[in-house]
Amino acid sequence: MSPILQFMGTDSLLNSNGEQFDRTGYSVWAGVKTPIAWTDGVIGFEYNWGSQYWLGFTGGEDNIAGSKLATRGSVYELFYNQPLVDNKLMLSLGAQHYDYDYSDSGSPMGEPVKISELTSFDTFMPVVDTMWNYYVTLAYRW
Amino acid sequence: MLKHYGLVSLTTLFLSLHSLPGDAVAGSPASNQELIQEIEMLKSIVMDLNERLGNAEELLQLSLEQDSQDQEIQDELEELDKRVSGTEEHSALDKVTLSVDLETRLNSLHMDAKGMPLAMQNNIMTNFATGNSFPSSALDGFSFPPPEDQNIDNNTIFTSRIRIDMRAKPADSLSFVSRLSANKIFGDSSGVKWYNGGPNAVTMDGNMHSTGSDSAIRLERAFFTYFDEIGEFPYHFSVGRRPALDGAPAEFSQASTVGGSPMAHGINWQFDGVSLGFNLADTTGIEGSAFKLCWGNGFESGAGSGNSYSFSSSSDVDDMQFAGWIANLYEDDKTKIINMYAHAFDVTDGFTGLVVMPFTMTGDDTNSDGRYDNYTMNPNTGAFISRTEPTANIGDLDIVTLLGQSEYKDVGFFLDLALSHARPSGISMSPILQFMGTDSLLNSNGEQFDRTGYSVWAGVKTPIAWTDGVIGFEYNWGSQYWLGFTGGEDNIAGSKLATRGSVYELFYNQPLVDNKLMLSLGAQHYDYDYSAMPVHPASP
Repeated sequence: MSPILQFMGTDSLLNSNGEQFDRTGYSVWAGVKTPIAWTDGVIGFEYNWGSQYWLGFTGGEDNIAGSKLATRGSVYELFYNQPLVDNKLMLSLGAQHYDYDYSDSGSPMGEPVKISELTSFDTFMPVVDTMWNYYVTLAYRW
Repeated sequence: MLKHYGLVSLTTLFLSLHSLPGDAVAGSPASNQELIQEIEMLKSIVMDLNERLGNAEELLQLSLEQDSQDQEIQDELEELDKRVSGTEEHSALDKVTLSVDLETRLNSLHMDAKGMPLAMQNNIMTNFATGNSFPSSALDGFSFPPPEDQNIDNNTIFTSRIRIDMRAKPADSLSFVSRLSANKIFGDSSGVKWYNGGPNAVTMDGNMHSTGSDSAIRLERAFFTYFDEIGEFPYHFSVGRRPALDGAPAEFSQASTVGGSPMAHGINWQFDGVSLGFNLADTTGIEGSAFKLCWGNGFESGAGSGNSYSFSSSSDVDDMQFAGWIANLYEDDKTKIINMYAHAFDVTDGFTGLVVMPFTMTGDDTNSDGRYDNYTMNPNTGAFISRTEPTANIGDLDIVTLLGQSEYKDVGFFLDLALSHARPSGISMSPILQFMGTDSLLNSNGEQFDRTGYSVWAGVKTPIAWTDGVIGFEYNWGSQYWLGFTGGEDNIAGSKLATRGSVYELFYNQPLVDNKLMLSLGAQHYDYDYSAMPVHPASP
């Protein structure tokens, strides 16, 4: 009964304009990593893909770019972890490429719309199509 | 002991008795002579035995004493072992050490202020805060009488400030420091204030730990420091929420040790950033010499932040950042000479914060010249909380300070000089600031003149032998265009070092339980020469 959601049409669970169809979503997440002997570091790669109706509760993911595991589309991530002081100070470098196929990833409200079929009304708030997120972290853990 | 001695005596007696009957049977004078000799011999044996027994007794006594001493040592060892084990366990299992600084403070505030007469305030609200649009020229030709003198007094206001410090050094090359803090006003707990024009009315990242708020424990500092050497230069690198509050010489009057890194005269304002420091004492041969480069982010504008324009491709509000150095030119136990330089890039017309405004205002720039032509004003009858955010970058600011601090005999003193240089290059897009005219960096009505300000801060203190206390005096003066980032100063009366005018402070610190419980008494007299202390824009 939110006036905003009814006005926008995104008023039902993975359905729009009051429709009530059951929705099934899928998501795949895979990763591989290997130590690099001459640096004592670890390099790795992760990939995940979510379908149009994929919905989890992953919004608590500590990622300022948004939860990658909520993505309806593909995310590619390359990371490298370098211990500086044992495992107590860790430098990480990484890059994430998000390639969304559908709108409103992570949101339970409204029918996810294919990015290529969005109207400007759907994008009253900007909808991200693709995104690169490059990161460097220095983590103290003790 | 006595028992042993008795037994040996009986044995001696028995030996003697045993000899005597044999001798008596012999019965001759010659035998008597022999008997006497024998008795003499036995006597000497007995004497010898007695002597030996005495020695044995002494030895035994010593040995028994030794036993009891051994026992004491054993007990002590066991107790020490327990304690050391406890400490070892503590250092092995607890990854941080904790310490606490709890300060309860009573302030009594007495202000003489200049204020708009209440009737006129009401008149403006009635005529303008109607929700109807009015032109920016509405106040033209309006004649404002001089403000009336007002007294604002608060005989008693209490605060309790807790600082929970955490420290760790998990490796020679790595350390960690963090501080959680709260500064609670007695009987006030919302953390968001009505805007009253006063210092620190807006709750902001930079001042929320210091200026009195609710009971929430907030993160005041959290950083690690990495230590290493480049060739012969020892350096340290640190990232996180900085130790930015209460830098030198703020400790002078507070009976504490130096609390922060940036010099309190220019920067006493919480921020996040990075530092890279070099210890130059070995290289230069000058005691305590060091050089530290610092960078900080005072305002984050872009995607990922919470600003209205953060997810916009057309926003032209940039981050406000600053960079500079802290140069310890000399430092020993008593004397220090420290220079700080800070350059603030793209100074914004405010910071993100929370406040309750008496009214809200929108502006309409009909000819797109960057100045609002019409305004609409509404009273904030619901006391709704506003999230403030910068609307524009309004220029650059340089701050330079130079501190000299020392002791002569027991008398401590310091002199701290500061200079600020503002170069405005933009106008605030806040409708309220444009309407009030206070829309540019130390300039009004869009003017863009460079402004240079000065500030002087000096103090002297001396111990008082018969009370173990310390009495001191501080003075500071700031010129018309003096501007620092000192709003994080822990002072409910407002930052004294922001003052454009003079401040006189007398203080007395009395240790009650060593330095663990300290009573401080003091008085500050502020004599402002110019207006607009807390806000960056506006010509004072």
